Amino acid sequence: MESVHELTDRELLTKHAEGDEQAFAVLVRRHRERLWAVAVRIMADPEEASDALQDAFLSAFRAAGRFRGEAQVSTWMHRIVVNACHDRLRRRKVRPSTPTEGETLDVMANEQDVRSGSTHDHASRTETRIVVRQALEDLPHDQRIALTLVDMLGYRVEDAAAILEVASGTIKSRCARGRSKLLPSLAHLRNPPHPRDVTSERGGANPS
Amino acid sequence: MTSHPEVEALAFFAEGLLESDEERNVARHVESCEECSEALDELSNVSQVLAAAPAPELPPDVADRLEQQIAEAVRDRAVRRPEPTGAPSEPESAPVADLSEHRKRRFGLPRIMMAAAAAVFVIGGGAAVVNGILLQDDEQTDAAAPLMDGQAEEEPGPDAAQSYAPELVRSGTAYTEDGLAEQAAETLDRSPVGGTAESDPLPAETTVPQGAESCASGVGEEIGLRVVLVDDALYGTGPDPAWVMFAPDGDSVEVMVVEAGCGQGDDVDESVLAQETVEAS
Repeated sequence: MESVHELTDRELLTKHAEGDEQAFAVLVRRHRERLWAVAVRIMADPEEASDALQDAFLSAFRAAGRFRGEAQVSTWMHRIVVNACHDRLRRRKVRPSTPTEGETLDVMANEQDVRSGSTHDHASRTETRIVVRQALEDLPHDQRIALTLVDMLGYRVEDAAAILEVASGTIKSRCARGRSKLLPSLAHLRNPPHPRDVTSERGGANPS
Repeated sequence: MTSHPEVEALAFFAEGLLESDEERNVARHVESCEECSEALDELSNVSQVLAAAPAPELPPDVADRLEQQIAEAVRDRAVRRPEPTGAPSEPESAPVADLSEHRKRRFGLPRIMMAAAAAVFVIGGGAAVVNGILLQDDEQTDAAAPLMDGQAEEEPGPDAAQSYAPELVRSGTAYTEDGLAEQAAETLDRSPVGGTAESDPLPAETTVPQGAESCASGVGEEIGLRVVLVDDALYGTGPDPAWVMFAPDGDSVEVMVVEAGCGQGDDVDESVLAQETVEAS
């Protein structure tokens, strides 16, 4: 009997739909870091990102039989996560995020900086995070999600288009609109105290 | 000198989204306008600031929560999809609870999962995976429809042609998930609708259980076919009756197992226990 760990995503999904009890967990372990990165950036809040991820994996678990195999399994999973986040963003409208939630994100990110031995100026980075989060909060959701995928996470426009099931041009225009809306609130970050910190970070993640 | 383009126009320009004459205008303007060329720089700076905004890695406790949730979903599913009878190797999963108990179990999920669970209820009811298959088959049906035009429509099954009410039989079968295809084919053969079996034919019953007809038409609507035969039988090891519905679809027959009484207010979807496609003999 072959090990589930050697199977492709698609084989795992099929096995799961057929009743296999391990396949889905393997699939999740394979993709969870990546999907977490998506969720936590869209939600800008670890608690809500965690909830969205749980929502998403549960729907994926149940919808596996509906997967048609036209898309990559990972694209499909991204789509489900993005949709779960979108649902939560919509609901958030009536319950604006509290400062505490934002601080959690900052603290966690700071801890990560410390772990990775970074010597960045935490104060300015924290300020950047807060400003970015606030600015994203005011964007229409579709622009926010497109910018999260393309600018924050460095997905190719085509990949973002596949995830969101829209044309590439739509992704581009959502990003363009989003960037022009963000410009006023982010322009002052243009010359941060440590400009090299910013430039050194962007390289791999920003294809445009 | 032309007036400054809007920032949004500059952003579109940067993405190459402008019409060619507009693009030419903006390009010319930017070349000679320091302010706008600076705005273009700022726009690409927005992307850089976004790319640089850090976020935490997956916290271990979140990873644990995901593992637990999936383990729970697997257990929940195992209860709803019983092992074939005769192989009760795991004492825990042995006797299968009746449906109402499954429902309670689902409502017992942690609050955090309720939203997603509720969403699945709408389409999936007690058997999301089964419904997944159902949806797939639906699409296949749609795709195949043009090929069957003027064929299937004008020549319905010989015995089914006259009546819109399905035939009812009581085969006494306790259908199982694994044996469904075979059991359904056998019932079909013995039924007045299939009628190819030489021995042991099933008589058409006249005492139709309440709700069976509306349930059959509901199921038919759901899958875009017409139910021609209903077997008032059992499913799994539970004590509750189940109705097994047969709907011919070209060369095959869609078999839907639904909770008895599905016509009484519930969505048909919620009552579907299993689904199978068998070849028409």
